[in-house]
Formats: sequence, structure tokens, C-alpha cells
Amino acid sequence: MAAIELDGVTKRFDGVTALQEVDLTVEEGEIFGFLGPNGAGKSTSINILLDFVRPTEGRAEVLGYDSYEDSTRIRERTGVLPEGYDVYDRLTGLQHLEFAIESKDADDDPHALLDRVGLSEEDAKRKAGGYSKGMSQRLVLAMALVGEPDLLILDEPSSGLDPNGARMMQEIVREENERGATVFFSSHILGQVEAVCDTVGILREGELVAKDTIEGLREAYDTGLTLTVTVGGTASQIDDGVAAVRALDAVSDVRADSDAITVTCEGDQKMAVLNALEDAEVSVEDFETEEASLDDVFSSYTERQEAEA
Amino acid sequence: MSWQAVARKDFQDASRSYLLWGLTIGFIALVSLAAAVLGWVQSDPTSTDILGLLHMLFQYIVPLIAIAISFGAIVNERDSGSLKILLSLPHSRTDVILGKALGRTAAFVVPLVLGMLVPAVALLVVGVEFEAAKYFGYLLLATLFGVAFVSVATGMSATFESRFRILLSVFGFYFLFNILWRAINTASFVIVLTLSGQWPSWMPLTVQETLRVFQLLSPTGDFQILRQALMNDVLFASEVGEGLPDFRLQLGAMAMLLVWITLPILIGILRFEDADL
Repeated sequence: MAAIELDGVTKRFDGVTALQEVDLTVEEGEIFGFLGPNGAGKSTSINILLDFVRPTEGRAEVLGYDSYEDSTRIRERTGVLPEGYDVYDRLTGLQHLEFAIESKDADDDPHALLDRVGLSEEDAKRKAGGYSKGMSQRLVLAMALVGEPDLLILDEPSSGLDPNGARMMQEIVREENERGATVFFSSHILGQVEAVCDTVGILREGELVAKDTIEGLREAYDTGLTLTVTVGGTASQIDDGVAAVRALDAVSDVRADSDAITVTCEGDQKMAVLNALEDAEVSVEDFETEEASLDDVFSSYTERQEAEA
Repeated sequence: MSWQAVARKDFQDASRSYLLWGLTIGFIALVSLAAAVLGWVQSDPTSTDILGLLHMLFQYIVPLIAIAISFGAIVNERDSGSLKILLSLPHSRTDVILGKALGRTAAFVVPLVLGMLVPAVALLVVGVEFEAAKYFGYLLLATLFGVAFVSVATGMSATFESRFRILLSVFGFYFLFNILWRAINTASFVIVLTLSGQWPSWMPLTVQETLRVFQLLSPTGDFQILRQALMNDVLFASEVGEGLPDFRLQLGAMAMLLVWITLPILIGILRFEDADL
């Protein structure tokens, strides 16, 4: 069964289309990264899953339940870190968690959860109104973890977190996934998605423009591997080397200057290139490889629109 | 039942605000002041005399306090975004409104009850003649009266997204029913009588009856009917003296107060149910 199923979902606000016939399936047990620039409709999609807003057309199912009819059932089994929330200023961190535990009819130890997200006992006794953005984010993440949810929906989970916090977030996402939870999180920051997600969906101007595994997206975009080799030797040796590398099948581009050769080739051809250089008696002093980052893939999907326009 | 969790959290939140305890102290001060003033101008006032003076203030400020406590119930959470935390947890929208209404009711009732209980003890200690039935009866009626305004304000808070429209409609309600109602009614009867020379014969109700119906419509009118009955020892009595509200009228007033307590919340629930948050 799919954990999340959007079926032809369109959402218009006062004539402005926020989502356009989005079909999306997230399988159980997946870590799904929902990518897109700000304003692409990520939060609107999540708001529909949580029944904060209703679709103009189409329907959504979460954990097999209709997002509108059975919203409470869905939220019983889902942990949510929403976007654009605020904590209750006058309640302490601990009271927030106790409220979440009571609301979910769970028996978690609030102190263990606070510890897990890196909030100290002292923080927990303070009123949340005095928390920094990062601390609030940790607190609401702890609330989302209450009751071992089957699904975690995290909207821009790393916003406001420092690098340590972002790492903690990734660790928790992995741990929760290993426990068996499906994780659905949105981000406009690619690094996090790349690091933890099995599958990625890219949303642009309210339309789902791609959905694939990270590997699949990379292959589809296929910029291959860029290999920069620092070399020594005479100019003629280097010329021979360049010629030898050019002769290789899987190499698409070779550029040389006085002490470096830059090769663009298929991902698994690194050793073939280096061997060809050695054979041509070029001394290889150092080399660097660079894979097509998801950044490139992401911008190729989200910026195409501007290029077309 | 998750509205209980929402109500508890809401009251917990409110109980940490200065407003709640400021109001408690304010009520205590007001009752004590009324007692002191009356003790100064009149020898040996009873607790009922004090209530009489107090009522002149209470009929205007109790609704205002109820409104101040409640009008932000939903809209504040909507504006700040804490509503998203609330609705990320397994609470239905109906539970949220019910819980909020209950939490705000508690945040209104606690200061009012404490504010009248503490001075009651003081009155007993200094030996004022204390008519407990009337004192606590009045407290109960004032509570119901105020809760009607808590309900109106909470209902509006759930109905409208804009704080301005909420305040406009809530204060509109207050001025219409609490300040202007009597004047409007009197004026319209004077106009009708002046124009036609007499009460039109096709009206199914007499002048008196029609005035009573209009009085019943307003929560302030209901409060007045019940208070008048209480103070004259005829609350829900089958036989009442001349000029006092009879049993049927009292029952109607109580029923209308309960309508004002429930109906605005129901409307708020219906409107909130359909809203995009």
C-alpha cells in the first residue's frame, strides 16, 4: 500500500493556481524528498495531506485514508513538523511534549524525546516563547516523534537549524526510517535530500516535473564524471596523453593546459583514463573527481522554465 | 475525547498570562470597593445591597471582559501559526473549537468566581449580613451571562480570518444588545404608536408581550429578567407578584441564554470546518 497518494490534485486560491493536477505516490518505507524552489507548491501539497486546505479538484490519500474524511485518523499515525508554525509562548518545552503525548494517547517519555532532539532539561523547563528558531524546530520535531508514527511529514525540517542540527535531523530521519516509518520531507536545500532520500520528486510552479530515485535523476540528466588530473612531464608527453585519452570510447571531452588535464567521461571510466595517461608516460601527480550533483539536476529541472520563457 | 486535551492546554496557557490573574485581582478590588463605598454612604449594608451596586457595573464590564478573553481564541493561533501545531496532532477541527471555547470559558469563570468568593469571605469576617442564596445565585447568573459573550466572541474568532472583522462583529453585538437594545426597542414602539395612534390590531401579541419577546432576544435582557426574579425571591417560582417576570418568561430567558451559549459556537464550528487554514 502507498503511504501517500495524490490523485489529480489541483488547488486554486482566489484564481491563482498553486497546484496543477499533481499525481504522486510515495511507497511505504520510503524516504521521499519533495524538492522545489520556494513557492512551487510544496507546502500547499503538505497542507492538503494534513487537511489544512482542501483540494479544488482531485483527492489525496494518506496511509490508505482519505485526507478529508479521515483526517484525524491520519494524524493519529503521522508525526508532523509543519511549516510556518509557532510554538505556544507561555508553555514550556516539556508542556508542549506532554500535550502532544496526551493528544496522541501515547506513553512516550518526554525527557527521552527531548534528549533525542538535543534539548537539555533546562531548555525543557523554559517557556518556549524564549526559544530560538532552531530550538523551536527541535521541540516540534520531538512532538512529531511522539507515538512512533508510521509516517513523518516534515516541511522544510532544516530551516533554522545550524549544521549540527541539520545533521541531527538527518540522523533522526534515518533512524525513524529504519524503525519502519515512511518519511516525506520537503526542502529547497538539496544537500539534505541527496544525503538521505531514496526517492525524489521535483515540484515546479505547482506541477510535478520529475519523480525518480537520486540515481535515476542523475542518469536522466547524465553529465557523467568530471576528472581533473594534475600531471607532470614534457609538452609532447602530455599531448600523447591527451590523444590516448581521447581515443577512449567513454570519454566525451578532454581539455589540457600546462599542468592539468580535465576529462569528462562516464562514471566508471576513471581508472581507464588514468591507465591511458600512465601508458603514455605522463606522470599523474594528483586527481580530483566531481560527480554531477543533484544541484545540477535540480536546477536543470527548475530553471528550464525560465530558459523557455 | 480530544477537546478535553485542547481545553486543558488552552487554560494552562491562559493561566500563565498576566491577564487572568490581573482580572482576578480586578474583580476582587471591584467587589471590595463596592462594599467599601456602600459601607461609607449607608449604615450596615447587606451583601444584597452590595450586589445591587455591583450589578450596575457588572452588566457592562462582564461582557467586555468575556470578549477580551475570548475574541483571539482561534484567530491568534491562526495568525501565529500555532494552530498548525494543534491540527498536526490528532484533533478534529470541531474538537479544537470546542476545546478552545471550554478553555476560554474557564479562563473567564475562574477570575469571576475567585473575584467574588474572596470578598465574600471578607464580608463574612467583618460581619456583614450575608444572603448566600442571592449572592451565589447572582454569581451563577453573571457567569452564564458572561459565558454567552465568551461563546459569541469565540464563535466569531472561528468564523472570520481577519481580526478587524472579528472585533467589529463582536463589539457590534455588544453595543446592539447590551447598550442600544432597550433604546432601539423603546424608540420603535414610540414610532409605531405615534404613527398608527394605537397598537396595530393585526399584531398577534400585545405591546407588553412584544416588548418581552424583544427583551428575551438579548442576552442582557435575559440576565435582567433572571436577576430581577432572583432578587425578589421568585426565581422559577410558580406564583410571582405584580410586575415581576413570570415562570414562563424566566424559563424563556434561561433557554435563550443557553441558546446564546451554544449557537455561536455551533456556527463557528460549521464555518471553521470549511475554511482553508
